[in-house]
Amino acid sequence: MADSHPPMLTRPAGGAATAAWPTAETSPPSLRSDADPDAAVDEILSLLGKDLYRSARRLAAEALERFPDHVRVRRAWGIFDNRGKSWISPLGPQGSSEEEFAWLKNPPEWAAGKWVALIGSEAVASADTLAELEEAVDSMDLPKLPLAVRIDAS
Amino acid sequence: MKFRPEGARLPQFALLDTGSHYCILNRELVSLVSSRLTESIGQFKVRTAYGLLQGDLYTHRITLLADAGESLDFESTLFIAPDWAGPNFLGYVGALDRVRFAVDPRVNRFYFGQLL
Repeated sequence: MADSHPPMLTRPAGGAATAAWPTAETSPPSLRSDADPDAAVDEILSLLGKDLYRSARRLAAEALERFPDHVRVRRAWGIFDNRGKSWISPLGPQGSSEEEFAWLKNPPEWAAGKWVALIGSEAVASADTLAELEEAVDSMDLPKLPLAVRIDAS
Repeated sequence: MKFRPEGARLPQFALLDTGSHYCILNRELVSLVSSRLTESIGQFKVRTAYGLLQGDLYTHRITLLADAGESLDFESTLFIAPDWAGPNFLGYVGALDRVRFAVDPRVNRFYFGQLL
């Protein structure tokens, strides 16, 4: 998609986490002729922090061209470079989540404030922390990988 | 969406948000994966619906778990902010932009595959 966004993402989507795709990215800054690679990376991150994604991407591409062997510049370019970064996982399919969703709609009272390991609608383990839950599940012989969920205390 | 970051044993749900930047993990999950994080790409501040957050960007492997078909590993850009008290989010930049995907809102299904 070169340097443009898919049409559906040209306006902010009202996301709950971080707001994306500003509408007012006009003339992107260019890398200064005397810029050093670290300053370039700082500028790229500063633009990202201002939601100026396209400008940051252009600057990262320029920086990579000028400093192709610089580790921080390469890492910064990695934010934008999406080629060849996904692979079929050895984990395989996990089965439907519908039973877990149903359980989560009406969790039992004992689960309030706990981390719970779910297989379908069965809670196979619970703990106060995620680390404890992972440890508990690790020693169990289970037919499949449980889903870890945190139930609100109230 | 079920997912599992490298360093965690158990999958969790994440909210899928194409309007968000990056992936953000809940605090306890960050504790689990922190020993596997490589050097930070850099620190910066980002505006969120919960206020201004300061954190670091990392490259980290994540698995999207399929109900049926094939699960997918991808190299994500994680935003790790110590003050983040929210849930897991899978955002667009450095996450969903590494995956070929489609949404069927009628049946609440998310289809995904490898982006070659």
